[in-house]
Amino acid sequence: MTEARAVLFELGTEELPPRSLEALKASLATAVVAELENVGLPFDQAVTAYASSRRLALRIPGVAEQTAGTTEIRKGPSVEAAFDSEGEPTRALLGFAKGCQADPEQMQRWKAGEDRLKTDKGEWLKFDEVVEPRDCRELLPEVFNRALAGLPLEKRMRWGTEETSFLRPVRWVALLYGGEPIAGEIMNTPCGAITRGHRFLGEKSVELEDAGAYENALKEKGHVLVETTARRQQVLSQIEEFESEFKVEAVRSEPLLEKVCASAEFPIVVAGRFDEEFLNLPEEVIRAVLEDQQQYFSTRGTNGVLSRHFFAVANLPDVNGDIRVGCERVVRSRLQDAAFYLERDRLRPFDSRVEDLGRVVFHRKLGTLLERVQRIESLAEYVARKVDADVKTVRRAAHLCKADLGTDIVQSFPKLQGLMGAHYARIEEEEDAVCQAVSDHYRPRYADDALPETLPGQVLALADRLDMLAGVFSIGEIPTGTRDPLGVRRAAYGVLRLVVECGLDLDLKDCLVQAVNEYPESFRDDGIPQAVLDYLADRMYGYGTERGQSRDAIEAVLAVGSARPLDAFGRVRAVEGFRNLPQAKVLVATHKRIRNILRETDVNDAEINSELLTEPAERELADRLVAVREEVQENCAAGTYGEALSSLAALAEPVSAFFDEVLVMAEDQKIRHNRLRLLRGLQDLFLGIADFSRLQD
Amino acid sequence: MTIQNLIRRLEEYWASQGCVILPAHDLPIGAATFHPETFLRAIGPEPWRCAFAQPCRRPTDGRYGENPNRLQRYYQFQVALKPSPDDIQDLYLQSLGELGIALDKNDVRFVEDDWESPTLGAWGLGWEVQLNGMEISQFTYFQQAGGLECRPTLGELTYGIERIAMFLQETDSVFDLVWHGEGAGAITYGQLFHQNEVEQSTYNFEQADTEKLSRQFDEIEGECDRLIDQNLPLPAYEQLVWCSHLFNLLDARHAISVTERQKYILRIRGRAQKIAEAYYASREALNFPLGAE
Repeated sequence: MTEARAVLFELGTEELPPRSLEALKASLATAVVAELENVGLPFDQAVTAYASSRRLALRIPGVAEQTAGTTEIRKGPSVEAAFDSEGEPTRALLGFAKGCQADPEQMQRWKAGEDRLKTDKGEWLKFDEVVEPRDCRELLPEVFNRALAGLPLEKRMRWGTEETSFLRPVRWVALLYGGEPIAGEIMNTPCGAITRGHRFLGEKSVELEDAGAYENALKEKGHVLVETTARRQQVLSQIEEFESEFKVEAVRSEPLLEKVCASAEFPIVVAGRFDEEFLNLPEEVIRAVLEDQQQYFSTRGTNGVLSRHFFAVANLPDVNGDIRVGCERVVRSRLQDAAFYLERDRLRPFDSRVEDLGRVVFHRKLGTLLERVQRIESLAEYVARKVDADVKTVRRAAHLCKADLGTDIVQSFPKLQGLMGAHYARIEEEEDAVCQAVSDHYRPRYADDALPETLPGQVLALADRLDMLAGVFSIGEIPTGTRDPLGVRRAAYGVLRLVVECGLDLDLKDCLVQAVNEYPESFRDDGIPQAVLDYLADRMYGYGTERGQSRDAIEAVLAVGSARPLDAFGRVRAVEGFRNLPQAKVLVATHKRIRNILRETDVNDAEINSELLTEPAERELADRLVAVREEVQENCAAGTYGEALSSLAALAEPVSAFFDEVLVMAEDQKIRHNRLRLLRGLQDLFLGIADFSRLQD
Repeated sequence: MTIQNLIRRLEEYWASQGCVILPAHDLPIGAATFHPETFLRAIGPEPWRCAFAQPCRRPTDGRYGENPNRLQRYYQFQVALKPSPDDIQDLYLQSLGELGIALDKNDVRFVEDDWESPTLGAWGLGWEVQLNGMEISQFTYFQQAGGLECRPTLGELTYGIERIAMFLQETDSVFDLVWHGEGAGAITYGQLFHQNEVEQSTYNFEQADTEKLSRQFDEIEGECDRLIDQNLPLPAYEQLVWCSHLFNLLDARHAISVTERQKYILRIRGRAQKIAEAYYASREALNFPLGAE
């Protein structure tokens, strides 16, 4: 066998969507590695994956020329089952022979008693299946075809008369084994040693001489930087040059950087600027035009204020400045559009837009946006009173919070909802606190987004989400699988973050009862608040574990109540701390034991008759319990659960002594019940914090 | 290059690529895709190549002639190639070269853009083509039309004529574009169409009688249904195109709420689907006169 060589595979395509390019590259590598292992072709795991807008490629080092040939032993029917009384082959044997594609000579050998598998349990027929070594040249096209067919693509398309489908049309395939081109077809496209260069620079077609020379050949002859890191470096270093030239700093957004690097094969940064007058537009609008609509980097001056300069990333050098002029022209026309919308939106008073919401449907079954706003107003007031937020501010902000949805600027830049509402409200001299709450109430918009900064904003954000959850559960449209058009999961997660991280100690059950009552009679169902609460409790596992808490601690806490998430997470933290105490083991075991004992009885109170305490160990426990109870209860009431648990830990010793020395199930019913009451008292104390019996060791 | 020369150059180029050069559709449409020679030809196995310049109406985009970049009527140059040829991107880029756009000095990019027409029950994948950051064309591989799979796939190239002309003539306002002639004899876009923009914007936003329009919609919709029942897909399609335009007018008047909007869309789409099926059957009955790929 010859020595192993590197394989180079390149799939040439029309321009791929940049969003998923890096992920696609990674999944292609994974799929190919799996297929290679599957066919048993030895290779070196140090695979390099490449992706640019017009190609996906892999270099796999150390690929063996052939698979190892093997002989596999196949076990057939037992001798008794293989031949009938006349010694003729049974159906079982005929079936086996067919499956093995055995020839008549093989049948003769079986009849003659050869090719048997003998064990101490009996004797079976066997078949030595020779698996011939397979050549990599024959295997590789199959490997890539299968890997490509199984890729998880968002959307597939067909082109021409082809029946194959991919993300975008496939136009060429290069496949090399060391320096040798491999023939074959991948995705109905013949393989060759030819790759294509940059669309407009360098050589149109580039012959690859060796798998190892791929990046260089593309760079030198094809004018393509096929390595993402190389493109990224080129973009960043050019941005830095312009930054120092214009004394500005680009607003570095990782998704934007990734996107521009995925859409140019030879990225060149072009610095443009827009007219001074547009700096009067709200910063968010300018940034939305530059970054979202045009994929350009916006910049800030040394004073931190947005500047006129922006950086576009082109696919080739701007030799005579036409690209810059073109980019500036587009930016100007887009900013003009935005200015036009902003001006037109102001033709009428902002708060008069609230009534327009009566014509906009929020959800087919949940009514108009106006109805939703009215519900939010009332619910937000309820919440505001609970957490001592300024009711007037909250109500006003709630009234205005969705009014910007009908503005032209938000219709054109949906992402700016809330922000633009605050902008218009400010112009009309609404109070700062109101504007801030309007702007903030969509936060958190995604899992790790910032939370509203002010209390009215937090209250409004919470009311907004609780109203939605109550409504969605009333009409039974709870999200399943990945379908969640209203963003119910995100809303639930937002509720947890708002309550826990903003320190809003609310009983959500009460809030949800209120939220459901805001809906018309026909929506109300007594089960809804609890259903939403259970849904939120489910989300608490994800929320807690992402923050390093353990599942069983969360479960133990939720088992005794989840309506106050802030309090619940305080208890989870305490339980996590408690687990590290030396006494924890005893107490957890004790709690399990007590629970099992009490489950069998009908003692429901914890009133102890001290005269019935006969043994010293039970007297000791009862005394200590009385001493500790008050401390624990005070700490629980104050939310200082850590301290409550340290007090409880002091009971470890007397509890152990109690179980060692006292028989709970005493003959005398009075004594027995008294002891059970003692245990219930102990359990009640535990259950004020968590069901410790649910903790795993 | 004047606009009329630009159109002529594109016609010559695409004629040399085997396209039938057709006149524009004689009904108001929102995009050249609605031209029966695109939408209906996308259905079924028959190969097809055509190209034409088409005025398109988007009532909501009217700005009374005051915005240098927005119009309620503008021109598209449409190319339909079925099956989409393997070198379709190169053919397109060559056509830009024919117009005098230096591909090695300007940034021409294929930017991901998935296209969907909810009213026509059609979708496709492709790009918007950007020239130095400005969208100048739409490039789509049709996957479905009227709810039917497109086999083979039709490749649709749609040039924004004003955008390209603004680049070539280096003007900042669409109204300064020269349509015909030069120097003192030049006729500009503004001279030709500014009054139309002002008056039509006034009609679209202020004068259009929404009650009348919605009555018309209902009537024409009924006519469309009747023609579908009579198995006359081509006249039925014309009625559908009318409905679509009436819907756009109603939309510009903000006369349609979000829910109603969805209902209107579904009304049009349901009929587009029936017409597509009837058209396919009628071509099949004729044994696919243009052949089958």
